[in-house]
Amino acid sequence: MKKSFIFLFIFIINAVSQPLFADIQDFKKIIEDYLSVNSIKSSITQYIYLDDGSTEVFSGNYFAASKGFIRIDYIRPESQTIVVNDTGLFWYYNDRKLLFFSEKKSENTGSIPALMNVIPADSMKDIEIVDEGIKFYSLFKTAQVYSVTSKKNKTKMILWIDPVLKIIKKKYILDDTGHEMMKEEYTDYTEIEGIFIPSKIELKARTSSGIVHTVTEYSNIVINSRIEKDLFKFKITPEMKVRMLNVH
Amino acid sequence: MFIRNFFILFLILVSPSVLCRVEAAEGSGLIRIHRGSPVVDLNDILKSNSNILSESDVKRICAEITGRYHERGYTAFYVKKAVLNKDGTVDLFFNEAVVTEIIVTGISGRIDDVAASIFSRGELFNESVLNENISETKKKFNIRQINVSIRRGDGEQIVLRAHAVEKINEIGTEIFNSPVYGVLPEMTYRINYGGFLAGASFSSSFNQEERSCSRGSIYFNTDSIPGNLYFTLSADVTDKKDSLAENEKLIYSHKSLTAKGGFGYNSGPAWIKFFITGTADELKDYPSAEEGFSFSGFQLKLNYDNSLYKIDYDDITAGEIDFSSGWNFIEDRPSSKIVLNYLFNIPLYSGFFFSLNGNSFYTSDKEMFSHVYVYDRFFPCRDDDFSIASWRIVTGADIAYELIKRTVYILPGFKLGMHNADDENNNVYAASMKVLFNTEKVRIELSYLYDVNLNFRDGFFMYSASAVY
Repeated sequence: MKKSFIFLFIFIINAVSQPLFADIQDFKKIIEDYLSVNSIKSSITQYIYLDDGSTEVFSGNYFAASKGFIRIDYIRPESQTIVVNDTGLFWYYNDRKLLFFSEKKSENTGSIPALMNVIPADSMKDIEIVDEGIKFYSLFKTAQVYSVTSKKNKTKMILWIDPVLKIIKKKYILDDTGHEMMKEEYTDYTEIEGIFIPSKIELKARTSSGIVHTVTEYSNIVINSRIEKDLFKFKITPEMKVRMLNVH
Repeated sequence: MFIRNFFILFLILVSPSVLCRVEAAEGSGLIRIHRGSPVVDLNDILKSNSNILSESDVKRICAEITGRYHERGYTAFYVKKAVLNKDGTVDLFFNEAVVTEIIVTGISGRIDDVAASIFSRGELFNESVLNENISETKKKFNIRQINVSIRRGDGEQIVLRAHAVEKINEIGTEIFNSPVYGVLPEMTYRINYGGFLAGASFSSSFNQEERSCSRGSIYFNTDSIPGNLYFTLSADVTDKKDSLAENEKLIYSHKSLTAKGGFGYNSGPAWIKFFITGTADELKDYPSAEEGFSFSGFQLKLNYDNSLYKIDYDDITAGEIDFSSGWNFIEDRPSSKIVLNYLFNIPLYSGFFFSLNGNSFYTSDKEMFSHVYVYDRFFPCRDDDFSIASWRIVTGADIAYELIKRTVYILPGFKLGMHNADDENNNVYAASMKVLFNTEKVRIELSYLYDVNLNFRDGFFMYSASAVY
């Protein structure tokens, strides 16, 4: 009995020794901080966990800018260049000279994709934010939970925010029946120019072929540095074998 | 492999929606079509315009083409852009709307097969085909209802979200070893057809030990899909041989029949049920009673289980509170019972999570045939100890490690059990090690739990295996 009281005491002390909530303004501030990021450069390593228990690893360099521009130069497992710009998506296998190309079909969101969809696709004006209360995200840590619902569709985003560090810990996307369709966990935050950037993102998504599970690690992160616009250009040359893809 | 990797990486980078379709393009005289496929014959529309085209011609042609597509069932088709060139030629850019993703929820298995049956990914969306496929899928997979929402993804392609309500025709088997009764195999059957859910279950220890237990139940619900208030009826029969706490050698026979009728409501993971219920008992070789109604009153059950809604096992929360209150005609006094079960999984760190679990029981009844064995399957830390208590609180905490992603877990843990066996309040501290194999259809659990104040060897190794077919 004594042990259980000690356990309860520790539990309560830890729970009350930190602010238990972040208000809506804090939440908006977090989102605005992310929206203030205009560019990002980093090294990237991606782990893809396959159904058979094996893991595929991709690594390279990552560049992103506002308007949804992305460039990834993969080194491993083979040299690949991926460019997403206002023309479309270019996925080029350098050694095989094989290009998969998809024309852009929709307007970009304006937010930087480097933050892995932390930011709602809609602008702040088009979303409804509801404080869903406090939940534990580890044994002694609480998170303030907000739901973000787009006025354009019924999909709901649930964000777990650390009330002390004011960082997003988790993101869930639910369908209109409440089933989780996607779950992302943001860890290993790095403070860069006053903005906390997650350097590890774990993603699990429910798809028609099962649960997709990946971990993406970012290192050597630099934000708001100048990135040449040419980096996001991709020129199709005659020696490339081009295949069209509709991806968007 | 490329397509899979492409999809996964694209999911990470840009959007959860995906489509891989080789694009076709065609041209015809004055009118050039971009991103169109030959799925709908437009030759008559295109060939009828042999002169230089005006803006009104273009509008008319677009309307005719759109109408043609929609007539054929391609109702998501539209002409995205029409460009009237200076030379009088026209470039028409189509969006034929390809189905990029089919997400199925509401069913426990066969998700891939059901998704493939509803529509083929990569094909042009066709409402007529979808409706036919839904009818076929319902028949083929014994599904009562499929609600499909059709949405455009980021690239204006089609994402189908199908929520299925199954006609369940399911057999479940389970086997576990109880510290009291020995090995108990159990079989359950559920059928859901036309708005009715019925089920039956049977388990028995087949008199392996001095104490034995056989149990059977049947139930019947009207339509219990989320949002519906439904009617429920059930009956449980038990035939047990149990012992009294004061004299472990005295074995008595206890047969009981419990009937319930009431209403239930569920809103997804949360359920509430209210029953009027009664229990008739027959006792042999029991010191103070022979037969009668040990309970007549009401029962309120509150359930919460989000396991079907969560992607990860370490996010699962489940709990049940079962409260009964009424009259005990055998003891001729009021009777109340509370049963509480819960499981909270809280992620700690990558691969680790904290699992808080427990089981509690309380009855105000004095007769021991209404009490529980302290060291039963909910607190199996002692072998050959048949203590009986009118209340017991078991709280457990496990630190779980995900040994194989989303499948195998190791859970070393600790349990505290409080109870009043032999009319004394007792605390028992137990340590445990558990291995859990958990998939969509099969669950296997191996555990060893022992009282830390006794010898390690005096603990109990418990196993359970269950599968759904």
